[in-house]
Amino acid sequence: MNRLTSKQRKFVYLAGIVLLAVPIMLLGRPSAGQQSAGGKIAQLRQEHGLGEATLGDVDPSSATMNLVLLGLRGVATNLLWMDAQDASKKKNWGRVRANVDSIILLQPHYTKVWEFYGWDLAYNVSVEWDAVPDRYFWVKEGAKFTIAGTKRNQKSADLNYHTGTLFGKKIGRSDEWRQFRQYFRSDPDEQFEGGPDPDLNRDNEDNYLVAKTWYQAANDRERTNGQHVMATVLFRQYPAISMLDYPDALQREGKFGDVTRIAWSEGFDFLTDDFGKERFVTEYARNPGVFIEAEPEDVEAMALENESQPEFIRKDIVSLQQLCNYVSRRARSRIEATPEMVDAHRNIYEGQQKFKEGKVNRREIDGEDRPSEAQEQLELGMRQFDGLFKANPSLIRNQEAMEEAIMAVVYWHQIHVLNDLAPPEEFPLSYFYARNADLYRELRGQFRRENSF
Amino acid sequence: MPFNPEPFELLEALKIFSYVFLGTTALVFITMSLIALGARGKSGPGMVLRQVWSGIRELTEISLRRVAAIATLTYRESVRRKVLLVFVLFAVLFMFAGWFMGDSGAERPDLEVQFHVSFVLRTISWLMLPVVLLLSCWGLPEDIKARSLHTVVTKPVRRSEVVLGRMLGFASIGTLVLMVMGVVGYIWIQRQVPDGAREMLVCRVPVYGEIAFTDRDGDISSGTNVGFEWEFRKFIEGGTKARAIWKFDGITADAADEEGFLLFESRFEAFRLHKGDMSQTLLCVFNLYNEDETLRASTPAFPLDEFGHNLTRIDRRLVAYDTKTNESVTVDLFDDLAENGTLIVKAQCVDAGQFLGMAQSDLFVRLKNRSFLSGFVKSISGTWLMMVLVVIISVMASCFLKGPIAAMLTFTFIIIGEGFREFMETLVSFQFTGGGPVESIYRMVTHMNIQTKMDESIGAYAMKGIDSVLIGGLWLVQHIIPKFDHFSRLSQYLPNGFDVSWSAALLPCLATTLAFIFPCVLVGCYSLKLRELESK
Repeated sequence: MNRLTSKQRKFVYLAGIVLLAVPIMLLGRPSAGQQSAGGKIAQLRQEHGLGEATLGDVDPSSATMNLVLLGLRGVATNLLWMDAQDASKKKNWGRVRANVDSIILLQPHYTKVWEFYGWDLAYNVSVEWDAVPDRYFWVKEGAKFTIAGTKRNQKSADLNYHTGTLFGKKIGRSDEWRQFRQYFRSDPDEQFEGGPDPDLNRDNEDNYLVAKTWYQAANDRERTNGQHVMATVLFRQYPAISMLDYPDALQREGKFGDVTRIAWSEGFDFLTDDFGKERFVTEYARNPGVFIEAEPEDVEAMALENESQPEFIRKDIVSLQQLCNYVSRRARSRIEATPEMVDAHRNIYEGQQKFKEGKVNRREIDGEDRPSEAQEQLELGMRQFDGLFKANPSLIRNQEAMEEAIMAVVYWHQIHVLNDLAPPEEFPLSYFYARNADLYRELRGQFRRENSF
Repeated sequence: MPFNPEPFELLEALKIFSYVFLGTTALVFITMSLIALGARGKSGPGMVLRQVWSGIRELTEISLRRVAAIATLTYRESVRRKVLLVFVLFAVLFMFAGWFMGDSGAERPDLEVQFHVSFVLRTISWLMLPVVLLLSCWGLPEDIKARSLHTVVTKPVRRSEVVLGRMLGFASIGTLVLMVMGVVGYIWIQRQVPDGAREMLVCRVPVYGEIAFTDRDGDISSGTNVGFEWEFRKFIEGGTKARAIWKFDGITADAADEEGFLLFESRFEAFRLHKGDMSQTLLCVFNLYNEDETLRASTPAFPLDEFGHNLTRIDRRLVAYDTKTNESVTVDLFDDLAENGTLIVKAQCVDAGQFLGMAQSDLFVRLKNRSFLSGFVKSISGTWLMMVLVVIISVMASCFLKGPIAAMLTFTFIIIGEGFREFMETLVSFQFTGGGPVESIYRMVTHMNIQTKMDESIGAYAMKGIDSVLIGGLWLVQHIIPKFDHFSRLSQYLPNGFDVSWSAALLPCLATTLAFIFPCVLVGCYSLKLRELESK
């Protein structure tokens, strides 16, 4: 039996509480900035960068929610995730969005959630809608969601990369890319009064230039915190790729002249001077690594810096260049900046437009039987392309350039079909056509879809 | 709406109620008589009969005054137990709800309204139900434990009056709490919904028709499945004879708006087989027919606003094609096309190679809007009916079980009634392969595939016979558990911007609650009569 009185027992309890409180205080004392590092837990948190504030912006509602749920936030997240999937199945998009918002309140630093649902909203939910402005709305929702993720997770390079991908690939390469690119600068939502959505494009720039900014931010984060998306050399090249995609998209839209030539030139400079001079650690160059835009004397210097052999360094550089298709991109951007290439693009584009306008029948000029307007313009462009390919063999390895050239051949062939004429054996680009039969067949399908054949 | 509202069949429900009530009563009586026969010999069944008779007499002699007194006592006791503290939690939730909802990101007014309204309705029911469940389940067992019930039963108060009084008392405190929450919730919605979405705070009043489909050759079909996991909508192919056909009844001139137009609202889903013209959404046309389909009028093709509210206004004066005379004639929508109140609408997709998805509730005649307040009151009434049902079941359970077990039983009823009804219906309607329990065991033991047919043997017939009896028992159990999914369906009307339908939503909830009052009072009354109060 306990022989202590009630009062004595209370004193014992009090003493116990004080005794237990001492280690708790020592362990859990908060950090007071530079004056004090705080208790052991605060020090560990600081050392491993696990504090809420060090990970990203602090959302008070998120912190409240986590406190209220005690240890059950994992369970709550699972339930919300299942409900979001069910809502998605039942096409209740409002419920999907509300559930996703709740999930990220509970687990703001689980970057896969941001990545998955940003992609889900922009890709899966958007295609469920038939009207292109509706689709664009959900692409924006996905982008806004991922941007919010980058703010809450300021150490994650992956989320910045995925945001750049949404602006670059989703807006610039979807089936609806023409409308998306237009909406990016002139939002269909009336509240923006014909301007862009400021949450995404405050300075009314091209989507590829905005993507470039996000990719650059991703690279900045990657240099200190790493990334989990792809090989470093591929990851770092995306700002340069965006710089090259920008004039390419302008050309796809039929915009030619100084604007594209200058953009290609700037893209070339960025590719060679910025990306080309980035250092990468390789098998034979551990410290400080190699850059891939290197002259022979640079190779010698890098071998000395890395305490390695020049032939090993050269091998590593070639390997990196092949991995990221550097030589082909460099060649293309250099050639694209020339007036001859701009002319070739213009002629092929205008030839295709004339085809779409129905200017495909042979005509009589001054009593002479002449090819159609579309054919003449296409042949001019094809001849220019043929010359450029032969003068610059590295351009042949460039997929975009080859696709454009072979697509011109598809149009040119179709004009012959429409005029009941057999195409001649020899024609500009016939050499490259013969070597790209698979690509021709693939592009023929695309041609039929584009022109409702 | 993610479901098709179907009118509640009251007569069918009454028939099922009678079968279940009489069947269960007979089963209980026979079981009790057999137990009594074993325990007391030949006099046993007579004792059971006397108990039944005394119970019936007790029920007929209920004094409303005494019931009201017990109810008042229950009410005061609940207040003393600080049940009203639930308001503190409620206030905290509503004070900070804006934090969590402000950043919803949904700039679409219909989604804003949906968020706010469903938040309020869900919060109220999630706060209310646990409180009344725990209160009602713990009430009587606590009284028995504290022996305060001993002083009550020594008074001239019948057990049935105690049960009824308890139910009334708990229901009245629940009603008070619900009313306050309802008023606060309504004001909160009015203040919190953004200005741009305020005009969406109305209740649309739909008149639904019955749907049928034809295939690409014009033959009756069940619609095309395009491969979506959710099979709510069926699809029709564009540029063919495939149609979705709605038959509306009761269409008179009263259905027209102030300007004499009949308003149709549709919400179809597009499914493209090829990219087609991306700058244009799919086109849809409505063809209106009279009952014998001799007159046909068509609307102009309209572009689909997918998942939105497509409104089609039909003028009263229409040019129709008369299939008897093969001539165009001018007709009156209500006098000629909907001559007997029946109007047939055939929807078609214009774009070849593309599909439009439709369900029964995706097209309706829209009558004049009702106020948001009326819909809100009806939604809260649904929550109230659910709360009363939970109180009734909880008090009944507490008459023969201790508090925690009674709470668990009621909670199980809610879970099964809400989430497992569909599964149970599949079982009792024999919509499964592999047979009933006995056949399934036989198949498992003999490693027989569920697709393999059983032999035509006596053993197989015997197994099927036993399974039928067991499934019959399951049918009874299925109906003893309330259909809580009626209540969850009712709560979906208002967030989706619809008026709460009387016949498809409120009536089934009301009927469910009413159906359980008498049986639960009866079970509670007998349980309390037979319960040994000294046993805590």
